[in-house]
Amino acid sequence: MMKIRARLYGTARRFSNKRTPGIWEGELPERATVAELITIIGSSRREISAAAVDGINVSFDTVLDERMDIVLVTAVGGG
Amino acid sequence: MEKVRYGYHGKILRVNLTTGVCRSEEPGDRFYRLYIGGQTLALHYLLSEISGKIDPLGPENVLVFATSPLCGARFSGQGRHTVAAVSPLTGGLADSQAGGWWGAELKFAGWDAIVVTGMSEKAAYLSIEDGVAVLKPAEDLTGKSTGDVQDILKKRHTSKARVLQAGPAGEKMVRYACITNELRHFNGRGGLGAVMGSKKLRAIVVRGSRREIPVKDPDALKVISMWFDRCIKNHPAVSLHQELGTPKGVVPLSVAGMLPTYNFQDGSFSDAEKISGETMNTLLGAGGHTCFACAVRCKRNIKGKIGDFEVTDRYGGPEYETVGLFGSNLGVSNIAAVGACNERCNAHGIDTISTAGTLAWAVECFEKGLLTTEDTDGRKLAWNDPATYLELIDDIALKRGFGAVLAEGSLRASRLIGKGSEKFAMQVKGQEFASHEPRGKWGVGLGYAVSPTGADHLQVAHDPWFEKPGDYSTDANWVDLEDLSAVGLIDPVPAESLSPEKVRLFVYLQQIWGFHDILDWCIFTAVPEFRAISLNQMVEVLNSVTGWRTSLFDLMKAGERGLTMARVLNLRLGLTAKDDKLPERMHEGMRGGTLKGHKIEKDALEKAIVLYYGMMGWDSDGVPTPAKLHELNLGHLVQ
Repeated sequence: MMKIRARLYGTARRFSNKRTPGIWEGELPERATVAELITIIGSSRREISAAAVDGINVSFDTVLDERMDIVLVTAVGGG
Repeated sequence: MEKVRYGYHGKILRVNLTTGVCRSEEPGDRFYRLYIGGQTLALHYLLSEISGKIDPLGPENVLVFATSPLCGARFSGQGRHTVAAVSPLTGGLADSQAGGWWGAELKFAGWDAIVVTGMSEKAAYLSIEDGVAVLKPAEDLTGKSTGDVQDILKKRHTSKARVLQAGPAGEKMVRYACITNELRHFNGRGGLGAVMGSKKLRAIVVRGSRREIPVKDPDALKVISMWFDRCIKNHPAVSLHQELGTPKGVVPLSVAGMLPTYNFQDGSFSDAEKISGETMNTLLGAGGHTCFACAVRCKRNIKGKIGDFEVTDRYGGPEYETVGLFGSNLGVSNIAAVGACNERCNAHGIDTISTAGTLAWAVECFEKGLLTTEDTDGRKLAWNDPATYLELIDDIALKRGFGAVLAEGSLRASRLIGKGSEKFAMQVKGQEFASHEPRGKWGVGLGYAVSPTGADHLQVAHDPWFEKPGDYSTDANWVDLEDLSAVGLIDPVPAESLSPEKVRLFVYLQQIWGFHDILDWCIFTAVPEFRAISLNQMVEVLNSVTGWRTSLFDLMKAGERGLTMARVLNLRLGLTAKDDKLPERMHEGMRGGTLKGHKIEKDALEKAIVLYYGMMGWDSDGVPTPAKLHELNLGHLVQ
């Protein structure tokens, strides 16, 4: 298993750990992908509109590792 | 015996500033059933009294403050009102909705709308206490900030009165001066504050003794209202909206490549996190406040200091549009500086969107050598220089030096400067872009291009919502096409598309957005993303309040009627199909960010616009056909 930390924006924020708004930290199997992370936090590929790793947008098939800065966002409007 | 009406009073206040006469007009029930309220009620008066090109800052302009039959109902999202006139920024329709408390207060005073004509000889304000409307001298208010004027008028009348006003920038007729109510809510766009200023009408103070509007079936309304308020509490998007306000979108849009950055050159901002709603909460103690009777509570309060910049809680916190345009689009990474710019604009009464958009034009022109210190009163203009932006905000509002050039808006300023600088003015019909990048959502680009009011992000829902199929499962009933299946929109369409399917989606969404503006119903309760209430439930609410037997079909037609009336007005004012276009930058690849290289093909946009005209029942020049006008019960507008 590996420890993963992801920053969550948009409605994905509701999947944060209770004590750290906007942050999800947990364990994923080695070589887990962004898609698996999305499922494990409780969201869906339908809700998550984009993922970024170390500041660069990536596909949901991207394999994760512990050192990555992971961001998941949902579609939002303005106002 | 006075006839009992539900939702509306049947009374329009006519104010002639030239003669000083205020009188009541009662247009009859058919008028309300046809025009309903808000945008179309206002358009009726503009079309009735303006027959051709006019000077928007002359006495011939007509300024309408309109509510809908729902305004003042104790139901979330019903605190809004419309202001409309001919825009000094675009020369066409200015039509802007504001939340807050003033609209409901006008209804409690017994009025559905105010139609202001003429021009006062001396500065005046309008006082309304129930049925009594009186013009009073306002020379002592001239030049004072919006905050000071609000304090004076509340002290003079009652602290419970609601104050709507143009600011000192309106008095100076800055072309994008706005109107504010209660210092935190804005009819922001189109220069409506300048129209008030040109008429020497500084403020409208309202107090009504009724605290409810007449409702036909209060029990039915209460049932839907309680259901709605419960739904809001468990609604992911609304909950997020309550926690972070509209700036919740800063980081997601940056990651998606659609956060306007450096005058729309890039779509991702390296410091997006620093100006996000999350950071605003953490560093400036953002809390929420609300509009009349609304459980959503999306408005921000902020207070604090970061580095050299301090913001108070006097004028409310910045919305997303302001954060995007005073933040990433000017390269600013200090959220307190963004808040300070917002506060300064609000004290002067100028639209933050157009102010920041015009500043971004100036900075890029300076960077490219099209402006020099000789043009800018010795100032060097640069990205991420909020101290200079604050000085320029003051100069714009007071039309001092280079500020007087910027006070014209980016299009007119570029024509004054020349040297090809128009290319860097991100505007449509003279109105600056809101904080949304069309090259990642082409429907927004189409909306900017064909909007009757110039670049306007509130024409339709944004494309990404409709890229995925509707989800009919119980745990995901808050986004998407599911609700839109009520009007026959069932197929997902890619965001970067201008296919016939996208144009059809756009046309229907524009009608839905249109009837929101006619009902003055806040989009943050009902539209996709915030769909805590369905389109059909909106109809139930309207019928419960008014006793009408309307339908979703009828409301779609109302939206279409409003768009067509706006088109007829703009044609009279000299705007044509040639004005339905985007700046060249939108047809060039983005310089940087996630969507680097993405663009809207010009040819595809032009074809989509012609198809849009066709779907709207307009000819290939964008002129509504006699058949369409008759079909919309607007036969009197056939030329």
